[in-house]
Parts: sequence; C-alpha cells; structure tokens
Amino acid sequence: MQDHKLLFIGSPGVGKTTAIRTVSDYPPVSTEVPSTDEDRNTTVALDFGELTLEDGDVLRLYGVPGQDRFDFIWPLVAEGAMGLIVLVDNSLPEPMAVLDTYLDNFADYIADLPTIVALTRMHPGSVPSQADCAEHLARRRLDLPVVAVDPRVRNDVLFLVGMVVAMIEKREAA
Amino acid sequence: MKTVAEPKEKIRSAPFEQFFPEQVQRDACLAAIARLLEGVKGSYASVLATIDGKPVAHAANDEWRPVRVAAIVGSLCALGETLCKEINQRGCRNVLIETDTGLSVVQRLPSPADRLILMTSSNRETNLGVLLTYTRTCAAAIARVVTPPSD
Repeated sequence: MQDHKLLFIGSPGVGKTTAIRTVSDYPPVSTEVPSTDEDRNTTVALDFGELTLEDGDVLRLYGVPGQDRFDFIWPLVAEGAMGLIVLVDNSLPEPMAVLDTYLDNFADYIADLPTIVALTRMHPGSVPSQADCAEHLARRRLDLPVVAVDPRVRNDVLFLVGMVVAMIEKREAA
Repeated sequence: MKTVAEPKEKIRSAPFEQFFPEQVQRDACLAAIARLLEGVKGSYASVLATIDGKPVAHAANDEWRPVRVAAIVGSLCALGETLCKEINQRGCRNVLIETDTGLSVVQRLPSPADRLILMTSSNRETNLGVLLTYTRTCAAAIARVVTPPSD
C-alpha cells in the first residue's frame, strides 16, 4: 500500500476545494471564509482530503489558496508533494496568462514533479481549447498533459488524480 | 506613548473604507487600537485584517509588511478555528503564539464585525491575561463602530 501526496493549485474560485470535496473519503478539512470582494467563499490556508484507491493506495489531496498574498503557505503545503494538478478556469478573460502565473510561481515543483494541467468551465467550442493550451505549454517548453474536467463530477476528478498517480508510478518504475 | 499611524495610503484600501465608511468610524477604530497598545505594557504592534487575509489597519513600532502579516493572520485564524472543530471544541476565542521573545494573540472580532480579525503582538514583559483582556476589549470597541457587509 502506497501513500501519495497530491497538490491542487490554481486561481481563486477555479474549483480546488470542490475537486477535493468531490472525491474525498470523508468531509475534507477546509479553511474557506467569505471573500470580502466577491460573492463566494475562498480558501485562506489549505484544503485536505483523502481518497483510498481500489488497490489500497491512499491519496492525500491538498489545496492551497490561489491569491498570491498567501504565497507564504504554498511551500509549506507543497513540501513532500509527489504530484501537482494545475487547475485553470477557462472562463476567465485571459486563462493562459493566469496559467503562466502559476507555472512561474511553481516552476521548481513543476520541474521536479509529475504535473497535469486541467481546464475547468469548458464548454463546446471553448477558447482556448485543450490543444491551444498544449501549444501554449509547448511554447514554454513544457510537455504536460492537458485535460478538461468539471471539479463537481467525481469521475472527472478520479480520472484526473488517476492520471497523476500513473505518472508518479511510471516515474518510480523508471 | 505609542502612536497609531493612519493606515498607509497603499493599504488604506477597500476593506478599511468598506468596514468603516465614515470618518468618525475610522477615528474610533484607530483610537481603539491606540488604547490597546497604550494599555498593554510591552505591546508593540496590532493588525486589523479581514478574515480572507487583507490588511484593514495597523499600528507597529517595527518594520512590518502589513499585507503579508494580514494574510498570515487570516490563515492562522482559519486554521485555529478549523482545528477547534476537528477536535470537537467550540467557540475558538484566540490563537496564541508564544515565542522566546514575545506573545501574539489572534482573535476574530465579535458580531457584527466577525469578518475582521485583530492581532496584537508584545514582548516578554507582557502579562498574558492583560494582553488577552485588552485585545478583547479593543475587538468589542471596533465591533461597536463597524459597518458590517450588507449580505
């Protein structure tokens, strides 16, 4: 039985807390509070949930706040992570620019860890498309899988974390 | 006597205006913080922040970065309250940090100011009970003059 720590990062409201809540075996630890400038809750410290896979492996799922004023907590929570999931809200005006900020801020982790980029709020014909995003990453010399997910849909999130685990196991086997 | 600076222009931001829209409210808020620092021997700084980690007002005799301190205070308060729930405790009153050189107490303000957090820091001269009492009194005074969010 193995234990993997996965880290969800991405902009505020992208769905990190929701994704963890969607698949966690129990109600996750959440530090959401009402946002003072938007009509929604926002995470101010971390999210934590656990998912036990069919083979008994346990995934420890962590999320961090998206706002850069909380950057002090990013390395604290990221310590020991074995895989990284970058969620990108594709409904934002400039989703690739937002993606770039997280690619820059987490560059050291992305260089070392299996990483997936997951687009949320995708609709038929959404721009940028998954292919556009992959091209964007390629221009940055990053070869990362790009998937589209709905963080509210359990099978979507299971697929996502399953891909990261497969990438971790492939790396460990190499 | 310590002085409480008006929040610097760069942090005299939306939250300060949002929670204290009238000058009389802002003056009362800053006066409450001044009384806190004057009343607690060894205290040297206080930060008022939103629960989502934005600076509202601060007073410090030290070179702090209020923007970063406010964010950390927001996280600390949330973690303290989350830990309380997790271990089946209720009514988290303070998060207390004790170091070799001082004390810091983080406290969510009472309703209707419960979207604000107050942190007070002091050196080792300070009596913990005095620090807690004055911080609570200051929090109550600010709560009396705040304009809570309309939602």
